[in-house]
Amino acid sequence: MPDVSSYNGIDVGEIASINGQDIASGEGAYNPVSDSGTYTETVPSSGLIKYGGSKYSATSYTSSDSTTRFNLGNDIVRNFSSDKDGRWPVVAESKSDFTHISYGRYSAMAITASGQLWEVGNQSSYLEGATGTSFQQVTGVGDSDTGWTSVSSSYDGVLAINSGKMYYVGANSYGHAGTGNTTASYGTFAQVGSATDWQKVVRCRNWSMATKTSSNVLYTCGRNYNYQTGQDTSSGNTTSWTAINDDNFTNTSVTHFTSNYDGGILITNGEAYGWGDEDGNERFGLNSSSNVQKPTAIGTVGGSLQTDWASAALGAQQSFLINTSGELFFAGENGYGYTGDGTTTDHKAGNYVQVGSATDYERASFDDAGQATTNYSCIKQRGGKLYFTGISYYGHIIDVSDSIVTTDTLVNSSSLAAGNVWATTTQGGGTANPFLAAIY
Amino acid sequence: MATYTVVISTEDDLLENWSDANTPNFSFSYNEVELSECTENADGTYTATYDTLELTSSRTYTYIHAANGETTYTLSAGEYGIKP
Repeated sequence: MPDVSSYNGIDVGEIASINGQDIASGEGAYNPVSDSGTYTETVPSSGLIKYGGSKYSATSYTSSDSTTRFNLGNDIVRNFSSDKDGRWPVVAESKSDFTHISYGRYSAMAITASGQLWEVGNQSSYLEGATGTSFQQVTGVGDSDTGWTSVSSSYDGVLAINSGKMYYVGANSYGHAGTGNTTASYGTFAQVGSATDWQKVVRCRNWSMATKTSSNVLYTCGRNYNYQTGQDTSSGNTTSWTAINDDNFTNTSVTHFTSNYDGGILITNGEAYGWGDEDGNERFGLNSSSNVQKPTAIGTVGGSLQTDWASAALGAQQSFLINTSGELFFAGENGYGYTGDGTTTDHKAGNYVQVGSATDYERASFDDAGQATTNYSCIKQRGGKLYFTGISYYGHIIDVSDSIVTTDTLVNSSSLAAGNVWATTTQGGGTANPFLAAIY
Repeated sequence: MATYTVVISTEDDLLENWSDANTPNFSFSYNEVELSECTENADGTYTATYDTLELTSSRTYTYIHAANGETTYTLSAGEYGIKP
């Protein structure tokens, strides 16, 4: 051990503690100068982000793992010992009070209970400021550093809301920031228009959706090519936030909306409406292979249109609806066993079909960032725990096999922390390797 | 919706956007994102396509104007977005 009395101009003798532990001040304390004593790593035991998938291995990323493009969490305090196979490392972030997390291709965003915005990522074009390997707070953007209420990171940028005003960073080539043009804002957040009553925003690969507090009207913008914006056209791009086509419903009181790469589902007053590309998958349960050009009533069960829907999940070839009783219903292609009932049976006869009889379904998702053109996994939240179905190979979220998992399989035996904060997406966009982050 | 073809030379040409003064909340662009999606011609050029917005009856749009806020306008039946 060299005799070091100072480092970088700092007198080592002046350092009183490391990571909150006193140095050489009591039994078991650690003295870094003499390398004596015992250093005990302190890792919080709750409120921590765990992440896995995209072929994560115990000690390193595999060569084919696209997460090498995306550094997540804090390497310094990663605690591999918390999980027997290391697939689910606990990442002890400096902030453990995230109430919302959103993971995109190059950047992840989080909002704390006090309304702070935090970010991490490895491409400065899609962040505010510099890249990093640990979450860092975004400051100096918007009216208040504690005014953030919604954030969504996706394939090539981020949309976020601060004090009712919307901001974006990243690409805008399809007008999917809703600025009225296709001008990008790389490396720094820029305000979108001047509206002050934005409520919630979701950004997808090439289109976006948002509501305003005034009446919960749903607006969309971005590429129209697959009818994903629900504007009843596949021509060009909707470059300004535009109220979604309301030929078939009243565009107010939209309480839930979700999306994928080329379509969406909204829920208002318990009624569900879907739109987007079909490709013959009949993912909207309409017994039709035609594209759904504008929001159209979905959710027929046994020939009767239901009006007690609470949430939805849209995949590339299928969708789930969850009703207010916590029951799960499915329509479309099920070759990868997404239903979780042990079958791979498609349901394409014009009805949503109930999956089992359980009443503990709270949320399902294929890809919160709407990035992937196809899906290989589905995550369901049941009774505060997360379950996986799909092809294990592409993400290794639950194991390293290449099997098709057709029964709901726990990804972690623990219950989520209060608030049920989790996000799933795919690393690298179209490569579709699934990824999951959750706070336990 | 009508589909038009345009001969282009490079992939960068596919990034072009154009507007129609009648449709302030829309821009128009090619359907293809990459050259590989285009038809390759014998002379080394490529043929790209784009779709116009065609309305058989008038339609009202409400959008958020960057400066003026919520703005509503009615677009008459017709074809919009033809490349200048």
